[in-house]
Amino acid sequence: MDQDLVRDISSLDITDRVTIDQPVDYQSCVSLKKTSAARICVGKAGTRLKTETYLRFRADHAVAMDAVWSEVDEKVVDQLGFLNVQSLCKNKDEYITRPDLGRRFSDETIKKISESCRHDADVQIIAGDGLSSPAITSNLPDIYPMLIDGLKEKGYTTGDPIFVKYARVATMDKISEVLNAKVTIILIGERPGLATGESLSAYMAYESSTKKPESQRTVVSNIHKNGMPPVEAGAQIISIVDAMMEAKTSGIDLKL
Amino acid sequence: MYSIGVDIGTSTTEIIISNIKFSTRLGLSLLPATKIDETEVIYRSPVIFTPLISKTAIDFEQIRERIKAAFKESGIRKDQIETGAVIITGETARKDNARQVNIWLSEYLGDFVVAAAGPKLESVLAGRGAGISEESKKRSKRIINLDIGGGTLNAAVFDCGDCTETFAMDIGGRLIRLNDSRTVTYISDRIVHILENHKLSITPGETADIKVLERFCSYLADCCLQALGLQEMSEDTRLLYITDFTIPKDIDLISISGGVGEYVGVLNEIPDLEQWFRYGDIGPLLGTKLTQALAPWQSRLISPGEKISATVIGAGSHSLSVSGNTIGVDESILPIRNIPIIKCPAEPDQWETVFRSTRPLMELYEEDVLAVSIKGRKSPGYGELKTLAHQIASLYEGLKSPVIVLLKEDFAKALSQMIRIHTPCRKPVICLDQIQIENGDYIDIGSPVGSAVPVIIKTLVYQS
Repeated sequence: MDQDLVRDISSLDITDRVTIDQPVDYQSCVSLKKTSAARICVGKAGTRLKTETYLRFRADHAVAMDAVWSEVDEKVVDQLGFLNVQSLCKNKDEYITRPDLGRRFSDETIKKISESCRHDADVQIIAGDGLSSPAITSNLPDIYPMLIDGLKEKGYTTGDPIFVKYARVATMDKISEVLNAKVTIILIGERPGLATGESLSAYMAYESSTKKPESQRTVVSNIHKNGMPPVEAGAQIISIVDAMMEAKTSGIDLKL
Repeated sequence: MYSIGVDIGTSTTEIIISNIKFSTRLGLSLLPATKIDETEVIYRSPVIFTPLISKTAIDFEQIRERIKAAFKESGIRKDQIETGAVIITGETARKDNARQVNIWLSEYLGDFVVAAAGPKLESVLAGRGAGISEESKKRSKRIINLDIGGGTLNAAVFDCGDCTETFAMDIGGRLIRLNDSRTVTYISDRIVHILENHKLSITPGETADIKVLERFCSYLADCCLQALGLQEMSEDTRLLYITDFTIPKDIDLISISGGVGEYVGVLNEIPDLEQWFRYGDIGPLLGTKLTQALAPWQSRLISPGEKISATVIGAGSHSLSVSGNTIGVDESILPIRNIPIIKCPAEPDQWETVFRSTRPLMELYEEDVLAVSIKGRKSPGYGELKTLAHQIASLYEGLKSPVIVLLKEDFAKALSQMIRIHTPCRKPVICLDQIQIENGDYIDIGSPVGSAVPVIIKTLVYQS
């Protein structure tokens, strides 16, 4: 049966694929492609894109859509011992259309967090699906143990990890106010683009609070297997936590 | 940061001082990233003939005086120099006391100045100094730079900015020397076979026949064409290779630097007899013959930004690079110099064999401190990284050396954390990434600049 199926077009590596017919200088096109993830040197059919280019564009767009609309595999977060909670959003639709609800929790959820998690730790780790569930599923198993190792080596106490479904970045402020950790970190799926649907960001803040502006946060972005490797990001975040604990501040006030 | 470059070549010696500026901006993941911003040559010494005590011994005293004068003329103090390279090149590197001079000079100039020689590094530095690395990147082309000095030809192929291939040959402008009355005073041993095979009668102590010298230079020009792959390789030319024999393929453009390069150019500017022998050698004549030989390929010839000064500029401005920005370094053991690099043969999917394949290689070295370069995966998982960390810890077990790991891929900080936490290894750990080691055998690692450390990758081959 397999031979009857067409190969998945999105599995093709297009980083150095030049599809111009008879290019004057093929090698230059290849090196140009290596400098950019944009769809350049693709050629054309008359005034339009070639079928392959067009299909690939649609396929990559579909990957981005799927990343937004799919759910995080709960086994992944359960195995790592995360407490599972949900923002005020009831479903993906509401999550997309009501960013305000994605930043808040119900009173019961707040109570659950407060009762089942450690208070006053040095560092609290949160994971949130955000706009890309695959970002969590594919990166969390590598970045999380790196964080735990590094924090332990430095002698910092860590809170109980929490996974937030339908999460916006600002959920970290609410959790910080409940648990009173010095540094709060949220690992959250980035809005996917056409280059990858698996990119993760780590937002971090010292005494993270709903009363502080967005500029309280420091970020490490572009964490995925073709960007900053998740293990490396984990080790780097430890250095930033160290800097925050020492300076007792974060965001634009923190000089790295 | 001030950097000095000293090039002691077969025929000429030159000194430059350049100012290397670093800048820290936000990188790909919004983290601060330190990079070399620009290098500006702020001082150039006059080009002088390399002072020799005898035919085979370099006059260190005179070179030191010249360097002192350079400091005086440039207004930069010796203690302001933080990096740089002393490079003894060409035939001079094979002279008796080259190694000693190199060590003396780097001790005189300071702790972080490299003493380097060896045909591979020379070729790369000359190509970079000539501006060909940059040019190949700008044009997205494969460009070969032939740096032809007094004693040797150093070739480097740059493909879109990266050096992909190097070789060196015994071709140069001072293989034959003459005095003012055109009596032959010196013939290099390395070309005797050509003179014999081609019945070219050039004899020391006798007046040179200009026609014969022309024939000889035309022959050397043909050797260059053969080395460029433009003519069929002959057995005599093969004997001129100093490095492993190779003929580069798919070259788009050709550049010729070095002293002989000064005389490679357009056909209607052929110098007259007076100019041919103005330096008492065959350099200008060789340049002229090379121009004529390359005439059919004129459209592929480009003029490098630097010619005679390419190597010294390369040594002074382009020998330094910086590591990646997320690295694991134990600063207590920095800076360190002249660390041999052991290239781990294990492929990226065979990390479990790192110990088995690399430990025997490490045991061949007598040095106390050793660095290992590993072929990495782009983004290793947590478990894979742990495997590698254990392999590396056992590599260094029982050795005096701290752990020094060099990677091209970007996971050095993670690896150093893993080694410290999950292995029994209790030594200082240094892991650097974004390090290209293709053309080097030794590494110098400086103290951190911003978020990165400066590194110099070099070869230290003193040929006998």
